[in-house]
Amino acid sequence: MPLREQSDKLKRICTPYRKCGDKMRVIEKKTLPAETPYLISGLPDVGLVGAIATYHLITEMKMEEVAYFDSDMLPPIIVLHGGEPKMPIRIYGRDSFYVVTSEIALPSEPLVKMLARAVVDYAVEKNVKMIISVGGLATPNRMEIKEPKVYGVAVREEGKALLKKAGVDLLNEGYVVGIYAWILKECTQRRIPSVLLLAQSHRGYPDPGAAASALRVLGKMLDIEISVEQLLKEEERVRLKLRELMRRTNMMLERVQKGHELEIPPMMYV
Amino acid sequence: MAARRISDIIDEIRREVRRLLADLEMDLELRRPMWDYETRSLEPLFTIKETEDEIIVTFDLPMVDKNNIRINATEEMLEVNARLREEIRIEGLRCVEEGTSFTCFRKVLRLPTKVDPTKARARFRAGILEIRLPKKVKKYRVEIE
Repeated sequence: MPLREQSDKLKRICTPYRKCGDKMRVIEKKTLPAETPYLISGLPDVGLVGAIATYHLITEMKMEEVAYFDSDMLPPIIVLHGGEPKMPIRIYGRDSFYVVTSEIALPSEPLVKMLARAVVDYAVEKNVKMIISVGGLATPNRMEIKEPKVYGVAVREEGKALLKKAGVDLLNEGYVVGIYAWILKECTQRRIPSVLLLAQSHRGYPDPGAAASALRVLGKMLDIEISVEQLLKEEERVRLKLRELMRRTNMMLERVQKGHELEIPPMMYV
Repeated sequence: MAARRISDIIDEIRREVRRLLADLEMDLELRRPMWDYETRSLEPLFTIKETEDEIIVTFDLPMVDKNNIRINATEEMLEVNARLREEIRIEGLRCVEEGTSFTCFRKVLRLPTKVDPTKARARFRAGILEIRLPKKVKKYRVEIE
């Protein structure tokens, strides 16, 4: 394709996201034929549960890259995979599943908000049935827990029904901070069915065991077979590789949480 | 009213200075690599928690066996050395020569308060090392007459 046509095509793809007033845009390479797909999001958070789970899901389901997020506010990082340069926040897809994953911790709160909004915008654009986010629930006695339990947060009845189908208990009390809070907020305001899966996890250490628990639940919810055998086999190697991403994510979470701990509503008045 | 406005401004400046210092601290921390080329060691992730009586330090030590961990403690410092089950090569590290591999985890840290190292306890489960160090100076409850 001639360069000018390529550039025009890129402009057309980017335009809807620029119009939102956000500085985060999606550069799309291809679209899935599914009319009402699911969007699964796994971004760096407590125990890197979402990031580990989505990376495994992408590998296990042999998904291909369909789009990536870009912004001038993102740190100047390009990751190399098989010698090919790639943007660090990408969307993969196959059949009726889009999966959002990130290889970097988001360094600032404005960027977190922008990405959350862009993820929801993309989901609306793709007419998704539901947004399913995967994260960790910091659990102090995680060392004693062999198989972490998974809790759920649901937006709208469709979300609650899906959690019920997989036998997931609702997280009745507590709070969500960070990017998933923004995704849930956007979904609530825009009436988009959404679910957040939270697996009991180490707070500051990569937790493939928690990611495996979340994937088992995800499989039940979506009626798909997700083998976690390989993930558990390579658990120690995954933990070793993800130390740097975990360190950066911990710092970001600490900063966001510190900034909001005084704003968290007292639970006793619920 | 005017005094209140001035105090608000001072509070705002104080918050901004704190935020800038925290950003600077984070920036400096992130510039420090989590590996040491000279000793071929990796820095483990760790957390420090303080209770009324103890300092609890945990380390994430994947690919390590219990018998290969050495812990040294003084009243103010804690040192952990742990040999990896096999040599590890981590791709994508800048400033490291091709073929460099790492053989162990190593971390020396200053404790937030003085402890009694002779009464320290440690356990290692699922790749997580937990060390409990009793505080040397304990708090005593003062009764009100």
